Amino acid sequence: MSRSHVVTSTELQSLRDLELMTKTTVEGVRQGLHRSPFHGYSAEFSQYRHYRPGDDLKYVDWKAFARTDRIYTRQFRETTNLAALFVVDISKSMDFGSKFVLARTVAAVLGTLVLDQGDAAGMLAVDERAHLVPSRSGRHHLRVLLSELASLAPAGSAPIAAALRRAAALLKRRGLVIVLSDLYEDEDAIGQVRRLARMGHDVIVIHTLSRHEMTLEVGGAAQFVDLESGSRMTVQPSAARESYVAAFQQWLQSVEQQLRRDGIGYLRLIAGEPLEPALRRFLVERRGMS
Amino acid sequence: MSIFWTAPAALIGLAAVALPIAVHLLARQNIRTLPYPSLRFLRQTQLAALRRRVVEDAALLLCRVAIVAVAALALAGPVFQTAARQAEYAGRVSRAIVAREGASREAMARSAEGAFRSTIIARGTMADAFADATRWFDEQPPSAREIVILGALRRGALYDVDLSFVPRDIGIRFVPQTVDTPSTAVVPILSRRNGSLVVISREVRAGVDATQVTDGAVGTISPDLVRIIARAGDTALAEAALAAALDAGVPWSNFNQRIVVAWEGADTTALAPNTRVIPMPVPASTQSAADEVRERLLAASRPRFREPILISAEQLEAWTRSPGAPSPRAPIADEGDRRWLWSAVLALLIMEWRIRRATAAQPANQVGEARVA
Repeated sequence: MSRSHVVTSTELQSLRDLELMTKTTVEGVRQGLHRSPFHGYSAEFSQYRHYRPGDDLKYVDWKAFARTDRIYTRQFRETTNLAALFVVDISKSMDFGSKFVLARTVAAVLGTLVLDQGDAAGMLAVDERAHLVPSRSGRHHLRVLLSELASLAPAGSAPIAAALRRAAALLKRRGLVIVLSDLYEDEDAIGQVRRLARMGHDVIVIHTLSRHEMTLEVGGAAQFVDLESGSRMTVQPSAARESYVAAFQQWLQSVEQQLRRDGIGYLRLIAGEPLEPALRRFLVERRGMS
Repeated sequence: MSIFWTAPAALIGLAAVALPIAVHLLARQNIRTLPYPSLRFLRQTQLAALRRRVVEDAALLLCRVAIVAVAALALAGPVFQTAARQAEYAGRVSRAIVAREGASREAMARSAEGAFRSTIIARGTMADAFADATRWFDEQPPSAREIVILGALRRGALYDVDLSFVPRDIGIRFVPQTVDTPSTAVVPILSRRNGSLVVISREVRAGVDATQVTDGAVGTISPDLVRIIARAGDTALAEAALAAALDAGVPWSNFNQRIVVAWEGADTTALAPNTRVIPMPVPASTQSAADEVRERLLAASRPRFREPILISAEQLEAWTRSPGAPSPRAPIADEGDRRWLWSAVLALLIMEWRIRRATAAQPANQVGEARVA
């Protein structure tokens, strides 16, 4: 499906920023990450060649070795074997601190990694309408993906669960689904994530948060306005902080446990904290699990 | 170390620390509107949120209280009396310069050099000068005190009794000045010889420690030059007193003007216009009448010759003494210690501003979280 996309000058500017940020971050993440953390499912056999030191032993054809007493390595046709879809939360609750910037950057970084290794990447975000970039491969597609990411703004009212429902409907074959959200509508959202996992998709939830919303570091009394519902509450943060932080931590643990219990990858990222080490650690761990 | 206050009344201002505390506790908080991702966890703390705060922003309150307190202390003008400052007091000298005959302006300026405070006192007698100096010292901030007597001190100008009125801890120093005193002078003396009024040319020769007097030529003079008049009942006594005074001899300088000593009650209407009348009361006793008349004549004649002999250097050295410790009763002066407190007030104001700004500028969605990688 071809999709024309008109990029405005503002988007171009933000795209340049995003490209630059992505490039530097990707380089950092790649260090020490020699093998892909993402694995496909339908690699197609192409031919044998003589084993060369350094080849991965899992591609050695031991049956052929037994027959011929020679070591052959199986080669596969280079096809797009992984389709990754980034589902980005663009609800208003993401417009706090730089949570949304973080989510968008992570999508761009991982999208670049996926596309660089020859796989396909796409993006889906839902507000009043769906922002969809179908999963495709190629260098040109990276620019399309980044420009769409750059054009997103956290102004929607649709919950992330709606986007996940849409993703479940869109994805025809098994693939990788990376969800970037603050998960405030956790009940519904986690249900949809589980559903995707049950469908056979490899699901990673990247939980993006702001340090301030975790600690309620606000001085003086304030009338808090819910970014999504608009409801208001006057709170003395110093009095409320302790119980707030406890409740928040309990919720975080609960979300993580629910997801991990179902084998869903979970990564919590805090806006303002160094991104590279957290991403690299997560990807290395993920590669180790495969 | 002790502390004195130059304006202790300002310490009442310390009570003003109650003001920021009252304002802090009573004033309504400035409620800001803060967009927030979700209120789901705040809901659990709603009751706590409605509770009245006790002391919120303790640092801000502490800062404001400190500003008021330190400003009140600064206004009270503290003077910290440390050992170093006491030594500083003892090391500086307030100097009262008593200017006598022959004291030049340059010498006065030189004497004032290096003094913490100085004043110049010029009085007719040393006793009066010392009294003035002592009064002046009482008004000066703590310091060593010294009286410098500048100029020529002739015999009879200063006695031990004059110095006994100067407190022992006030130093005394003499700076003698040379005076242009003729070594020999001829002084006309008005006198009486054989009942006639005469003028005797008396030669006065000044030595190092003695004056030699030699009577010279005697000339007659008009008997009307000096007369005395009195009431009818006192005339005999008055004339006897004048005769006795003239017999002792009176240094005279003005021979061109007639002088009439007029006792109280005398009729002066018939006197010639060019006559100078010296009024005086009728002497209380007959014995002192001649002396009183002579004093009036001496005052009127103003002889120019003055006793040339100066007080010896040995005597001056014996009277010299070093300044003692500063007077404990000296008034406390502002030594600039309050500037440290004003600096502290300034620092606290900056701190208060920073705390206030940090507290106010926290819409959480504007916090510095732009750094992603």
